[in-house]
Amino acid sequence: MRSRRAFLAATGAAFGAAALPAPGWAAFGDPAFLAAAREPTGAFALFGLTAGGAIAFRVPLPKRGHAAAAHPLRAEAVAFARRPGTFALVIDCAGGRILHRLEAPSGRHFYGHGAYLDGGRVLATTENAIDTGDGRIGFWDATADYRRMGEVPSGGIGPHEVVALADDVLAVANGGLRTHPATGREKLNLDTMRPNLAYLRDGAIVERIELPDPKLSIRHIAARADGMVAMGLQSERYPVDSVPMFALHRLGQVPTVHGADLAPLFQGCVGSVAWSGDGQRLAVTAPRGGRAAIWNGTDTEILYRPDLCGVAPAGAGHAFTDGTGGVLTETGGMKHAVAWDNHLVGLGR
Amino acid sequence: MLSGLEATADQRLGGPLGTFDRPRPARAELHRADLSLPMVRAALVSLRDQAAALVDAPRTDAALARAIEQAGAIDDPALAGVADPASRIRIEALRTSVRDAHDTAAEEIGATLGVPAGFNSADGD
Repeated sequence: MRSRRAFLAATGAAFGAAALPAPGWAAFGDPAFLAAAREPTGAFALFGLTAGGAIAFRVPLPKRGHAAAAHPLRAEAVAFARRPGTFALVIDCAGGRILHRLEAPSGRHFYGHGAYLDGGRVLATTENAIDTGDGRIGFWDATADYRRMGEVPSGGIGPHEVVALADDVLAVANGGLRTHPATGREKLNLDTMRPNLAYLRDGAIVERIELPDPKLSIRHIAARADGMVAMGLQSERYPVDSVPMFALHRLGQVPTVHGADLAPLFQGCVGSVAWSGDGQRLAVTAPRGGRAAIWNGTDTEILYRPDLCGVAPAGAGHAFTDGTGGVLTETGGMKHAVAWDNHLVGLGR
Repeated sequence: MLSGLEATADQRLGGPLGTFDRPRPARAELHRADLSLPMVRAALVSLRDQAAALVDAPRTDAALARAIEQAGAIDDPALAGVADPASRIRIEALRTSVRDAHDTAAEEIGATLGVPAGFNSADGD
């Protein structure tokens, strides 16, 4: 096994690599978002959406997608298979071509999310070490055809979403739920689950926090520019139990939990979280509850849409997507003949 | 169409039904004109036409036909019977049928249009 020192040396080498070619995002239909979807034919694809919600481009996917990660500079995105997938596709959103196919190393599968680090030179992915059930963060060299660079422990079981904070700190939602490909998506450790939020710098865990209730799986996270991380929770208690639905944490501070009154309406399940573009409000979506809560720190507004799940920052506010094809942006709504999959990814433009 | 069924179940019927301990007959739509139940029936008939115009959805059509028949069999135009346990049960049954029609339509028509309900909500992330 590779030592951390060797791994960092390899990472360092990649960080020094040549400048990237950057035919930016603007050239291609001006997408502002990415979202995976199922089409009426039953086929799956990754779409680029404009700020107004129109389709900017479409790239077919071999199987159901989940989330995507957008390269910060190149018109390039990684589409992740729905867990427990073993592939991720690096897509040239310009030509709709598949540039690379990432295969999970032997004994690993992807958990559905990833994030770019170091100005787009490194891609980090959440993975399962199948034999032990330990979470892993895999690193891939985006400057060298996405060669596998190495991996580090994620700090828990079942890492789902990973996001990059300033200074290349990674925040990882270790959902706490062990799954095994042999039993599909079945949860194997409900009695002993202990989710956490872990922060990694240079591949090492610098902080790890747990919430008071271990039955709340921390699955989706969103970071604000000031480092405040919002966590969307999924309750493994009864769906009607009033348990917190989201939590906040910043490095070095004590986490706070919120939204217990929302739990029965949400049926205990948050599908996605996003800060508004101006950072003033947090949106948490509840596909089972068919609604989203938009919270400004004191008051909560409710948005009703069936199968609402995707949310991303847009302008000063938010954009939403749902399983019936709706795209709701700051400027209005559009409907497409697809079922939008769980996540809407903002390109930050 | 789905929101029409939801409104019929939750507002036109749910409003006057209130709770068992606290029925709200005065909340029935147009109850002074004795048009509450006719409104429910008219809504169901027009929603059935609408469903038929969308796609071929036999199960939805049957579910709506059942609800319309039930509405026709209740002789209480102002829905005043919500306050009486004996007649209330038939109005509750009608609401259940409207909700069933809603769920059937969501599934059947959604599937035919290629957007099954619950793409995200059905099976987690």
